[in-house]
Amino acid sequence: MMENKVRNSPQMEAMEKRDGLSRRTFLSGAGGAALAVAASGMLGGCEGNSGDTSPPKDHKDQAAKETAVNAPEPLYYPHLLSPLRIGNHVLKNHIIGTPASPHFLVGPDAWPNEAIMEAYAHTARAGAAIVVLSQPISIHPPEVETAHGWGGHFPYWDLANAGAQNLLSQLTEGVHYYGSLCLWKVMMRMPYGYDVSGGSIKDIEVTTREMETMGLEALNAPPPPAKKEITEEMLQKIVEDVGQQAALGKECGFDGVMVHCAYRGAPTGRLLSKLVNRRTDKYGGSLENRARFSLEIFDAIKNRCGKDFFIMATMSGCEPEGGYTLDDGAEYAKMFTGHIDLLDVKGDPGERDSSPTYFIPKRTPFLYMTEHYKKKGVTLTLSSDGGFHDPDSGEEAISSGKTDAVGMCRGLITNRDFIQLATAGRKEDVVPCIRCNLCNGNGEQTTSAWLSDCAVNPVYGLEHKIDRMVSPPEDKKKVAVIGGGPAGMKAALVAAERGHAVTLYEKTGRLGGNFARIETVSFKWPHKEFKDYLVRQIGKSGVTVRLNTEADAAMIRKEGCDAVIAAIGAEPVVPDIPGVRGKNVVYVPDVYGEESSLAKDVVFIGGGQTGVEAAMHLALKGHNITVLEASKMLAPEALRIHFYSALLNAWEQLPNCHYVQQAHCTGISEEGVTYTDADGRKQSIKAGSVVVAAGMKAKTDPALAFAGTGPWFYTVGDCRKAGDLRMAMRSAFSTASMI
Amino acid sequence: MEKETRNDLQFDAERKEEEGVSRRKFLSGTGGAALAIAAGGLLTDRAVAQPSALPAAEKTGDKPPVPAGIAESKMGTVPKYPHLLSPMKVGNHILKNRIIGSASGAHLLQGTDPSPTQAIMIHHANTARAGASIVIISQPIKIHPDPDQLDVLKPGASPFLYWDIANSATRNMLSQLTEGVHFYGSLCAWKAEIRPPAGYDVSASVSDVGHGVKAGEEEKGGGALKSKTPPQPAQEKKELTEEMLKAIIDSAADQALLGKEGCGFDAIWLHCGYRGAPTARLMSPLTNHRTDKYGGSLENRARFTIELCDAIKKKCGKDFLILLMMSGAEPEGGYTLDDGVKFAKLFTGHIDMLILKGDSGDVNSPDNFVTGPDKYTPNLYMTEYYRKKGVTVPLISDGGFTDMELAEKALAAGKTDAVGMCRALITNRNFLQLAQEGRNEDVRPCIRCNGCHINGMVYTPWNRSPWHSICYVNPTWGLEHKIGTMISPPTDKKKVAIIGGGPAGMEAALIAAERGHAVTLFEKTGRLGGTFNTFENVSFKWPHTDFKNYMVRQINKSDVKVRLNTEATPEMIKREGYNAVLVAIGAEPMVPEIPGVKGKNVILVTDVYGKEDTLAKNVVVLGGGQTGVETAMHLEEKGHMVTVLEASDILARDAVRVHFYDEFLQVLAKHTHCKTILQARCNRITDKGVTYIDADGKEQSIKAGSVVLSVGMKARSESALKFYGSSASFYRIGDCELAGDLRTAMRSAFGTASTL
Repeated sequence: MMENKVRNSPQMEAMEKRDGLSRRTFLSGAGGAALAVAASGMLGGCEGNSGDTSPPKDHKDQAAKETAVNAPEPLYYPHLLSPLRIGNHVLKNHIIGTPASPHFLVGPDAWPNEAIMEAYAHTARAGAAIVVLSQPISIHPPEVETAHGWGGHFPYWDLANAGAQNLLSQLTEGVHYYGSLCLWKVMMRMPYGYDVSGGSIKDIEVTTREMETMGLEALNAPPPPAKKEITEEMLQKIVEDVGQQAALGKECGFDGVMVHCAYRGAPTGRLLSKLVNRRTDKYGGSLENRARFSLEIFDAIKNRCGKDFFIMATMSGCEPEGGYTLDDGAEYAKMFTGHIDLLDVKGDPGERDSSPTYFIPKRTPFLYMTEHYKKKGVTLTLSSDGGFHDPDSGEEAISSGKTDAVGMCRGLITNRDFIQLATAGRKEDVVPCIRCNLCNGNGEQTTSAWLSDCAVNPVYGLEHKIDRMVSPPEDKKKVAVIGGGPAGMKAALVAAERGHAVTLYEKTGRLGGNFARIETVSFKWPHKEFKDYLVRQIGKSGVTVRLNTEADAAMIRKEGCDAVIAAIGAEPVVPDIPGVRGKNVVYVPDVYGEESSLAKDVVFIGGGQTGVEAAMHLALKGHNITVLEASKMLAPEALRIHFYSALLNAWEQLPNCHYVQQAHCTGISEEGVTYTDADGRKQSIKAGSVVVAAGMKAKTDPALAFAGTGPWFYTVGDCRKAGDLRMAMRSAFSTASMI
Repeated sequence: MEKETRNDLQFDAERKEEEGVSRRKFLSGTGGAALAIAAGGLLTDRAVAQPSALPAAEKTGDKPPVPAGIAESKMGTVPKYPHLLSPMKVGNHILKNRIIGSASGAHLLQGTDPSPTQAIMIHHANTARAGASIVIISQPIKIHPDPDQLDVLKPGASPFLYWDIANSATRNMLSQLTEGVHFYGSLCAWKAEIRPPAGYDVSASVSDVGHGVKAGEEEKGGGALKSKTPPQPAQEKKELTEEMLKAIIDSAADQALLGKEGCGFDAIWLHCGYRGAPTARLMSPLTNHRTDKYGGSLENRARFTIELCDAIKKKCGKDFLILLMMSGAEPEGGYTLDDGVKFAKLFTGHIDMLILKGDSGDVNSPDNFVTGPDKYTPNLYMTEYYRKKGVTVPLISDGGFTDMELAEKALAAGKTDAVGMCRALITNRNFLQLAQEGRNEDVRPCIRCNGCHINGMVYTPWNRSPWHSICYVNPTWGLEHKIGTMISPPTDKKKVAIIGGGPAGMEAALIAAERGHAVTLFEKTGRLGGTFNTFENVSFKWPHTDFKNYMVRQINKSDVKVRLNTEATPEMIKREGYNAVLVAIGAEPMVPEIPGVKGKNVILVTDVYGKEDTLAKNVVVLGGGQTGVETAMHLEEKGHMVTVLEASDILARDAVRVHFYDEFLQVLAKHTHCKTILQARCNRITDKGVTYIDADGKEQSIKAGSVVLSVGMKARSESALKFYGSSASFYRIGDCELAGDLRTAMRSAFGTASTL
């Protein structure tokens, strides 16, 4: 298998980089601004070409060029983008589209709808050589699975329903259209009340999930109810069932399956684990025994579907302390060789989340795992998963031999034109992912709807209908945008792309708004990258930027604009607490950049995500922190799935951070803060500085002052409704796309 | 009533005129070549709906100006096919032309609900748009279907998903469907569901010689298809009572009324062909052994059908059209052509149009095995005969019509009043436009593979594979409802090299060129066509040759630069400098590891064609897939004695099942010097022949002077991958991506070229 692999790194001939006559030409040339906008998610950073910071050229010039045939381009990212041979399969490149989808597009039915079909096709189009469905699919799923239970936030799709098979075939057809393979996660279900070992096992995976509902209290929670050990017959039944599923899936045009063996989730992963597998039969004890079930699953699939039916397994590179080690993992990989086609190696949520959040300082934190496996002589084709959002990381990882392929998920969500950007070598136009994990589901509670959308790509989840939501611009308008934060910049970019004459007013000396202030926060590095990306795009666009200019209504009226967009942001809520106007009181946005002027001991009033993150930042700068939070949990509004436990883990690692739950602040003095605790008793804390983080409110009145300065007036971002980056991007995009 | 209809027609005419303009405008206006192509020559609803196509003027209601740069119309001022395109009066309706869209549907688009999906609505609207003056929905529509029919793991699962006409929400959806068809000025009809109660038939215990899925069907073709489960004995059936027949009529009339009043249908289509429904089974002396008023004389046998028609007319009014489809004549023992004429005369006055088809599910969608002088229109003689014998009811000849000239001639000569078309409208979603422009040479030929009916490719333990029903030559069929969002317009003009002039290479070249790129097509031999060139002298591959010739013709008309006799190398591509290279170098036969496989008497299946004379009289073909069997048949026709050895227990496992496989096996049976042996594993090839292990594990031998290897194809991946790096972007298409069939080749070519 190894010999067949394409390992070509053809020497690139540096050829003269063609002058960019790109989408922009098409857009302006063909009046296709509607499409430009519609595609803005898809076409991500299509605002211009690399290094081209000059204002857009005259229409005529570009039109003339349009007819000329471009000189060929050099080869960018030859390792990442070259085909990858695995067995009899040739993948179109080295990008493995790991399971992801906008979950909220899934309706109540046990089959895919048009919207979700299109979302998966777009992932193939964005560049994934393999698209793995994240949706659970099984044979006649019992209704209970959709309503309850783990995985129950996804409605299951029914592989044995004739109509569902039609629709699944349509789905795979959409992925095949773009030359990609389509896989799904095969379902392995243990009977209720059974686990791989009997008794009550408290494992890290469970704790991580519990954190999502219980917060830090989960760490001290009692172990879950005892379970019975699953019998060998039951395991054989699962193997048989998997084989049948695979055969049915193949009928629907799937090219293979993904077998989930990671972090003690499915029986495969739980049997591999040293933490939860305590069996004494042939499935427990030695590494070989623990791998036995996974191998049986793999072989059952190949037996039913043939050797060319692709099997990708996903596995934790190693487990947290007490679990299997990196060396053990390499042994597993060796045992899997010959039974599967591709092994996707990811992190383990026990130590760090498998979808790295911004609390992890490393860009590709799990690359060391495949690197180690390779060093240990693993010959199976490996894919490193986690944090590969940009073409450089992937190219570097593959060319240095640390992995054969890279798993990519969020890079293809933020950039629905990833492959075009990478092929054209336009890394500076790749929209950075801020690693917020909204895309995995932004329900605040586990029972919330899975509004898995993207903070930085405002059309993710709208792709199936965006072209009907946006019309082309009717004429060229003069547009003023007030405020150079993310919303203002995005609105200006979209309006400019639609061909309008845009002026962006920023009262400070630099663009970025709140994002410019959090630049120094160590764990907000992806946010800084995103801000830098927006500033870069503004630089390349035709937007006129007026820094150090505090726009007022009179000024804008005098300019005579057709459309005025206020993007002046939000301001802190001032709670009604005695002493709140004191000199030692600071509001949370003002903390950044003023860290050294604060006292050593700091009390935070308000332990929402904003307060917690500011507190962590100050703790990292050496302050002693106490956070007073009125509710029972820290950061109760933070994203739950694949984020919250990472936040709490990061918090736990800071010894100088403390929090008091159910604490209601009653007064602020020069000495500190008084509050009533959970039992209604009065308490006090000494502190030199008090930070108020009681929420933000839109700057409604200052924004409304601009109403009437032009025929069309809009508010976007935080000054419409104090929210997060996602809301800012969506309001900016949608507003500008209507102009 | 009459007045209303006319107004509608006028509106339709106006609508269509506008439609025509805005389409074109869109295309030239926005560099929308991409979308034009997206539509594969057809235009999707998305294409028209593209907002950028609509200039501001249209909003004020003015006639939109014709944008500069629009091409001169190819339409001319004189009708090119005056008979085919002339309106036709039927009852109080005027059909927009003489093309009747025979019952069909993209089955794959049907979801799980007992109601049409948006996708299937768009599909049928596009059939109206392609030119059908009546669109006949193939989906069975029923009062309260059984949901269990959807479970593929249960025996007896329905191959079709039923729509529930008794459900008011479904009727909403059906109304949306008919509205889509009416939008293009066409009438919409559906198949009446006429079904006896379970356990009953028109006569007791008749053998099931009709159309449909039958018990033990897998046994057909001399045991070529062996069922894994023992065949179910045919169920004993009781004779339908007169009360039951009356109940069927009442139910059908109720359905008709629900369809007319509740869903906007204009007509109903009665299936009286090849002994399927009780109507046909009563008409046929083969199945009707009754002695009551429904059996015996021809008049008696026609009675039920006439009662049914009258009941429908009585419920729905005389302006509700009835299209009756019947076999022109039955096989021996059944009714003759002259009997058919008598039926037709009896039906006159009770129905509005009579559709005449061949007599089985297989020959009424003629496949590539239909040969001879009438191969393009094999059923035309029937309507011709009926007319000659004085039948006055409007006649529709159905089967094989794709060629405009032939249809025009048939109509002009009075051999039929209209032509049924189905596959021509699938392969050409712009058929009407091509006809108006007189461009018969640009009609994409159907290869008559019947993949559109079902593409359940493999024999599986399940009852059936999903009904992929996908067109092998039109890569966007089944994607029409979403192709607009799958493709973006080209962003810049690229220099594109395409390596290999087979079907995939040609399709990709055409699409890329239409999108405005500068395309060079490299072909190492002296002519375009690839593998398809080798079929040219195969008697039953004539539609494939038509298709290949069409592709070459289109290449010649396009701006594609063709470099024949040029074996492209990566160095050459690199030197010449291209933005994209698409490799379409095909597949090669697999060579099994059998002792003696390198012998001089061994020849690869792809090398057989054109070298038939060099083979010995006795030939063994190793591998009984469709390719192997077809090669064997071809060799037999060239005078060889052929034996096919197939390792599995199924012959031509990969062949299309429905409306193809039966015919395929029947044709095979006619090749009397072509023998097939199943479960035979070849273990040695010598210069005397081959030895193999038979089903019982015993070694056997066959004498043969030549041995043909046909054990499958594999993509030329290695050679293709050499081109990676020779240009900024690299793609593989067609068989060198995945050794497949014409369908996979066309789809990958189209999909890839549409992203350039």
